[in-house]
This record gives sequence, C-alpha cells and structure tokens, in this order.
Amino acid sequence: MWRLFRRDRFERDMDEELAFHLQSRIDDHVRRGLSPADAERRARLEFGGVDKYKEQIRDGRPLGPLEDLGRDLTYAWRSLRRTPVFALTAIIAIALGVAVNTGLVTLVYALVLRPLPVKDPGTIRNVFMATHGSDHRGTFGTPYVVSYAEFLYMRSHARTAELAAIAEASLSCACGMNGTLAAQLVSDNLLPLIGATPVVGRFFTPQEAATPGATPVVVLSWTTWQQRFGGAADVVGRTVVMNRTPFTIVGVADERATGPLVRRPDVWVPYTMQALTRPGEVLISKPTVGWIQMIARRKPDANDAAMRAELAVLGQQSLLPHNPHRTAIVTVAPGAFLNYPMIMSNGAPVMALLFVAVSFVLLIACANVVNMLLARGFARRREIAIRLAMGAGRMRLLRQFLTESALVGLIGGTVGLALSQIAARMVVASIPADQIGAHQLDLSPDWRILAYTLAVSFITSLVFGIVPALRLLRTDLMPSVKTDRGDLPTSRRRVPLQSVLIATQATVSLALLVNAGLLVRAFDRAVRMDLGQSARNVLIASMNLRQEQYTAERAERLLTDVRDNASRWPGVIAASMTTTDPFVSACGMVATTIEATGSRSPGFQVACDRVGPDYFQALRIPILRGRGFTGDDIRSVSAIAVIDEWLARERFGDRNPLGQHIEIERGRDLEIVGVVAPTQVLQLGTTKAPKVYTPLRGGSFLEAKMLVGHHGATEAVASALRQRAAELDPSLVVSVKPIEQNVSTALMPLRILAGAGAALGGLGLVLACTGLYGVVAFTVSRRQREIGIRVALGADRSSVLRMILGHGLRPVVAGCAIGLLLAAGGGHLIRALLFGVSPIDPITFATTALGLLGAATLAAIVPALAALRLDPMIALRDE
Amino acid sequence: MASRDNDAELLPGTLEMLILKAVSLGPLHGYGILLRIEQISGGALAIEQGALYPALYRLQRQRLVATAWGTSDSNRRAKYYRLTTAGRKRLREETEWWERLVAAMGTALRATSEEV
Repeated sequence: MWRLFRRDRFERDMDEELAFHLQSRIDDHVRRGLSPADAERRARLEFGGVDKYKEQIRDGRPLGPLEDLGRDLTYAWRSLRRTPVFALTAIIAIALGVAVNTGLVTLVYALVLRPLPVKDPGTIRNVFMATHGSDHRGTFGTPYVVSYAEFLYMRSHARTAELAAIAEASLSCACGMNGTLAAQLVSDNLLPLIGATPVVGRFFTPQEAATPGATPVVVLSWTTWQQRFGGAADVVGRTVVMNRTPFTIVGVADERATGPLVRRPDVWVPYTMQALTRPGEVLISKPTVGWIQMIARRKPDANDAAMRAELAVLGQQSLLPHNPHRTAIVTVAPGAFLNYPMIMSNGAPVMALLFVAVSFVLLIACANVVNMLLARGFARRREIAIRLAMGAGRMRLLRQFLTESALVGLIGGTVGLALSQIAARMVVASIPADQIGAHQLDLSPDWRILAYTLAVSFITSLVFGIVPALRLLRTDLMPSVKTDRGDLPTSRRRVPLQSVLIATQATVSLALLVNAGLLVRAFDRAVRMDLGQSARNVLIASMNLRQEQYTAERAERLLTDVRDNASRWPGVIAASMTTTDPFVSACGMVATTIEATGSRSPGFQVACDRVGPDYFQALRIPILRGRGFTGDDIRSVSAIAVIDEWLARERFGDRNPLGQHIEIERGRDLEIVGVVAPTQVLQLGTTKAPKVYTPLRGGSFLEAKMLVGHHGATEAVASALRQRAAELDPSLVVSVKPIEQNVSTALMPLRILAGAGAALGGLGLVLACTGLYGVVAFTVSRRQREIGIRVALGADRSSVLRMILGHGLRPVVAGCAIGLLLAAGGGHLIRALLFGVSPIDPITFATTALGLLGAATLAAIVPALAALRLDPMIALRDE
Repeated sequence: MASRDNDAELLPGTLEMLILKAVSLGPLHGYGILLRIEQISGGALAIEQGALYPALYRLQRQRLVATAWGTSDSNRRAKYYRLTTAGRKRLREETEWWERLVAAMGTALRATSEEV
C-alpha cells in the first residue's frame, strides 16, 4: 500500500515538474509574440519526448527493497524463459544434487534427530546409562539399558524428571500376524508420559506394574484393536492368550499413541511380566542384567544440565547394592529414535562418508551450472556491456545475476526436495519388513528439513552464481560492445577457470564412480563367493519354543522326533538342528587350546555354533578329517568339538588336530573329533572367523532351528515339516523359509550400499558428461572462427581435430589422475565392505577411468566435428 | 536501443557540471536552470530540454543537489533545486579537473614539431 502511494506521489511530482517547465516555456514564447498554439508546439519540440525522459527518470529511480527484488525476480524469470534449455538443465542438475543431499539428511534426521512422535516431545529425553568396571554385568539389547532394580531406584529418587521404563518383546499369539505380536514392556507411567490417552478402558495402575509376574494385563494399540478385534466396544475384560498365558485386556490406546520406539507396538504389557516374555531368561529378578531403556519427561522447573547432574549421581548410586565396582556413565539426549552414544559415534564415520558422496554429486551439479553460467555469460556479454554503458551500477547487475542464480537454486531445490522424498522412501522400502518391522520412521519434511533444503539451495546458488557474475562484471566493456557476437579475445585467465571446473568434475565423478564400482564388484563377489556350505536347497524351520513355554526336555523331544522323521523322507539328504540362523546370526566366543602338558594358549576369538546330528551333511559342508556329530553325541555328555580348517591350520599347523583339546566355555575341555571345510560369513566388515562346532544339548534346544537339506522338492518338504510339527503340537506356530532368504537378508546391507553407490556414481557420471559436453561445445563454438581460419589457410582437418580434442581433454585427464588418487583413498575407507575386493582393484580403476575418458572424448568430438564441417567462409563472415 | 540523443553532443558528465554550476548561484527550478545554462554558456550548448531532468534526478539521488517545493515568479508551484555541501565540493573538484584537462589539452594541441 505504502509503496504504491509513494510511487503515485513520485509520478505526480514528476508530472507536475515537467508540466511546469513546459508551461513556463510556453508562457515565454507567448510573451515573445507567438500564438499560444505555436508556442506550445515549439515548447514541446524543444523539450523532446516527454515520455522518453519520464522513462529515463523512472529507470534511474532507486526502488524500495521489495519492489527491487520483485523487479529482479521478474527480470530473472524472463531471462530464464528466454534460454529454456539452459534453465532446464541447470534446474535439473541442481535438483538432482539437492535430492541426494536432502534425501540422506532426511533419512539420518528421521533416525537420530527427529523429535519422537509423542505429545510435547520438547521435554522428552532419552536417558542412556552405560557401565564399565570389573563386576559381572549382562545387558540385553543395547549397552545403555538398566536392570529392574536400578530403574526402580532411579525412578523413585529422580526430582528433575519423571522416568519411565520400556523394553521390546515379541509374544506368540494366535491373534497376531504370523502368530506373533510386537509388545512393549512398560512401567505404569510410560503411556501417560508420552501423552497417550485410553479410548476404551484405562491404562495400567501402579499396582499392576509393581509385582513381577502377578498381573497379566494388556493394553491394545488402536491398530490392533481395529484389525484384530474389529474395534469391538466391549473388548475390555476379554482375555487374549499370549505366550500361552491368558492376559486381560484393560484398555485401548488412542490412534496417535504409537510408542517412543522405531517399531510400532501391537500391545503394551506391564514390564513386571518380563519373565513370561522370555521364559527361562528371567531378567527382572537379576539386578546385574540390564534390559530396560529409560525415557524421561523433564520437569517444568528443571533443565538438561540439572537432569544430567542428578541422574549421573542416581545412576551411580543405583549400582552400589549389586555392582559396586562398576562406574555408571549417564547420557541425557533429546528424545529421538536411535541416538545412543554408540550409534552416534560409530555411525558418524559412515554418515560422513555418505555425506561426502552426496556432496560430491552436488558439487558436480554446481560445477555444471557454473560452466553453463560462464558460457551463457559470454553470450550475454554484449547485453551487460550495454547496460553498464547506460549507467547501470555494477552492484545492481551483480544483484541481478545473483537473483537469477537464486531463482535457479530455488526452483532446483524445490524439485530436489520432492525427489529426495521419493529417494528416501525408496531406500526405506528396500529394507525388508522382517528387518525393520512396522516402523514409524517419519520421512515427511518438517520445517528443519525445509530450512536445510532452502539453505543448501541458496548456498549452492550463491556458490555457482557469484564466480561467473563477478567474472562478467570485471570485464572491460568496449570490445564487447563493438563485436556483434559478444565474444572476446580469449584472455589467458579465463580458460583456466573452466579447465579447473572440468578437472574438478572429472576428479569428483571418477572418485565416486570408482568407489561405486568397487561396491558393485564386492556385491558381485559376495553373490558368487564359494560359501563353503550350501546356500540353496536347505529349508530352515523356526518355532518360538521358549515363548511357547516349552521345557528343554520337551523341546529336545519335539525337535529330535521331527528330525528323525524328516531324515527318512524321500528327497531329503539330511536333517539337523542349529542355534544360529545360517548367514544371518552369528555366535562369537573366546577360545583357548590346551596342550597335552596342560599349558594353555592365550585366548583368541572364534565363531561358534551348537549343531545337531548330520549337520554337516545337511548343509553339505565337507568333513575333511575325523567325523561329524551323531545322534549319540547329542544324547551323551562327551566333551567333544569339531573345528574348521581355518582353525586347524591357524592353531595346529601341520600337527594332527584330532585328539587335541580346546576350551570355549570355562572349565569344559573339549576333544577335537573332526575337521570340516571352512564356511564364509556374509556380514559386512567381518573377516573370516575360525569356527568351533559343539553338539546341541540341553537348554539350547529352546533356541534351535531345524535344517533340512533336500534335492529341490522345497514345497513338499516344507509342508511335510509343518504337518509333522502339527501332529506333535497342534498349536505350535512353525515358520519355514528357504536358506536363500537368509542369503539375501545377509546381503541386504551390501545390496543397498552397492545400489546407492551405483545410483550416486551414475548420477555423477551423467552430470559430469553433460557438463563436459556443454563446456567443450561452447569452447569449440567460441573458437569456430579460429578453426575456420586454420582450415581456410589449409590446415589439415585431422590435426585441427586433434588440437581441439587435446585442449578439451587435457583438464579431464588431469582430473582423472587426481580422481584416481582420491578414489584409492575412498576405497581404503570402505575396505571393510569390499568382501576381499582390493581397494585399488585395477579392473575397476581401469574400466572406470577409461569409461570416463571415453565419455569425455565423445562429449568433445561431437562439437569438434560440427565445427570442422562448417564452411570456413561462414565462420569467417560471421563477424 | 536509444538513438543518438542531443545530449551526446555534450561530453559525458558536462551537463551535470553545468547544472551544478547553475544552482551554485542560488536555488532554481528546472526551467530556471535551463535558462541559466543557456545564459552562462552563451547558448552554445544545444540540448533537448527534457534531457535536463534525468540528469537532475541523478544529481538528486547522489545528494549533490537538494529539492524543495516552492512558488515561482508566475505564482505556480515549482520544484526548486539548491546545491548541497557535497555538491559544492564536487563542483570544485570537477572545475579543477576540467581546468587541468583544458590546460593540458591546450599545451598538447599547441605543441609544435620541434617540441615533440
């Protein structure tokens, strides 16, 4: 409003002033004897075009900052519309660069930074307590969990915050999906603390979460209520059988209550029912075993520093009764899904590496746009010179250019934000459900992500905008005004900048590509690796015997029966049991060898497995010496072990390992009765581990899985397995999967990495090639005249071509050379992920470098040939 | 592009100098400045009268002249221009520079072959 009013007054004043001038002149002429009509005609003639001068006055008029910006934006928009190809390529380049950047940040933000999906998340804190010292201590889950006794002590003494307990468990229930329910074991105050409200019934009373094992009550999540109980209004008071124990439903939480952990729970159960969730592993009665994660609601009158100070003291005091020789380290962190100190410190390097990779893509995109702007700048040189000559301020032109860049950055950033959403969702979707479950990662952009994207886009546009703009403005005007084509005699300083840009692009994209190539090769190698055991035609049957309240004896009877039965089925090679899920889970222990003299070796790390009879036959692991385990070994108590060849060679060299002794559990001296071929693990960052197999016995049966090696009749064997188990226990839920699924699960992280690497590398390559093409094409077009002269003077076309290519490719070659060094450094950093592929794998390095050079040559040769085909006379006459 | 205007017959910047000189003798409205310039230059500088105004607005923006609305001799509302301190300083500098230039040019143009 005010602006319009001001403009009106400006116009009125100007009109009045000019009218006064004309009128005074007319008056003077009339006074000298002209007729009024003649006087007016004469005065107007002398004055010149009124509108023209008004326009000149308006042009020179300083504008309000907003009006100014509006004018700059309009101008920038028009100028982009005039060169749609440039605008589109620049926007796409920036969009892709921003997309990978924001995509990564979105994922990291959702995992470790985003406030929890609870009411009033600002005062919610994660309280992590780690301990170290000489007392025995066990933890279940992360190292940041406390025992029941410790939690009770801290909760009752804390004044700065209210502490609540949470732990995750899976319960078997006929009502659940695949027979299981995801449960959160909670203290009575957790649900109110996160702002949940009961839509039906009530939450737990303090009494219901006070006596271990006393109160089998359950609160349903809204989703479970709707999907499993049809939203029945009378659900409260009903009984639901979980882990073969009847629980009474006391209430249903509201729809928005999804818990403070990544996985959404189906039900909430008082944490005092812990013993039932893992029968045989009663954690709640053991003060030295941590399993409870603490969530805190800060009191209104407290701050984080006070919380830290108080909880550090309380944490230490809570250890005194049972772990007096351990020290507590308490961390108070903002409420977020995965911000344990360990994740923050271990994940940081990986994140940094990924961040470098995505920044490289953004950098390439930036370099592209800089090059395009430079090229475009040359074309606009004449326009700029004229505007400068007309008195436009250099600052004003600079602002104009930067507005243009900012507009490109802003549009590119917006498109990039949309793309990043797609990319982040694709990454999460590519993780199989059994790895992440019903997660509640929120990837939608909140104001922080928006601000980040905006900042990245703006900084990017400033980076790519300012160099070409300054370069343009610094130039001398006159030569540009004079020549029609707007080109300048190539000055010595101009070429290096573009060369540096090309070289940078080549360096960065080569480094990206090589590392992506290494990951792809690692994936390839992992897929085709000789695993030393069968990776197909094996079925794995799992049942939650522990949750189903089996005793060890009953579990052994069931499994042995099914195994003995399955061994006789047609098409079955062998059936056995194991405690580790092949390729997916692993067991590690410290072992010692014992000489006949009784002397013991220092401890060394081994992989371990407890296996049933015929295990090696079922998994087709060759027995090299001695024997495998038999049914008698399982039933007896003989202290025997089978080792793999790696261990045999490493520990016994040329000696016969049979009859030697090894200890993996204190006080159990095992005699080695067999040596088998080594097997590969498929875990990222794990080197081959020597392995010790022991017979499956006792309580381990509760954890065991069935393994059936067969000749390919997967379906028949699977249904026979289910049928046999059902005959023995009709209510037992058995899940059967082929071993291939485990292989694919184990390779998932590598597949994701290789996929992401290949995508980033490919993106980098496309951006670098388009950039290269644009710049070389532009350089050649600027030299068309020179080329024309050379050809006209009789220069050999092929030598001219060589010259152009040489000039275009020199910076690429230089960039590639540096890029190879950078790539070797990167390869070294990701060595752990490479499955033995050398971090300077010559094949990857050579093919990538040659590929990039080839693409660059192609990018250079097309415009060069086009320039040569041009009639020299046209090029010359083009002046 | 604009055609070659009459003000191109002035050396760049000279119009501004003449305006500063004109208002240095006392506040004037635009038309008065025109008359004063015609008078002090002996009518030698022929410019389109309109060209005066963009120059006036430029000087005003550079704060070399200040403006105020007043009443003219003919009893009409008119915008008066007067020199500011900065304007006075600029006029002095420009005059000195101009005189040095004229002297130098004069010497150069009068030089005979012996002196070269």
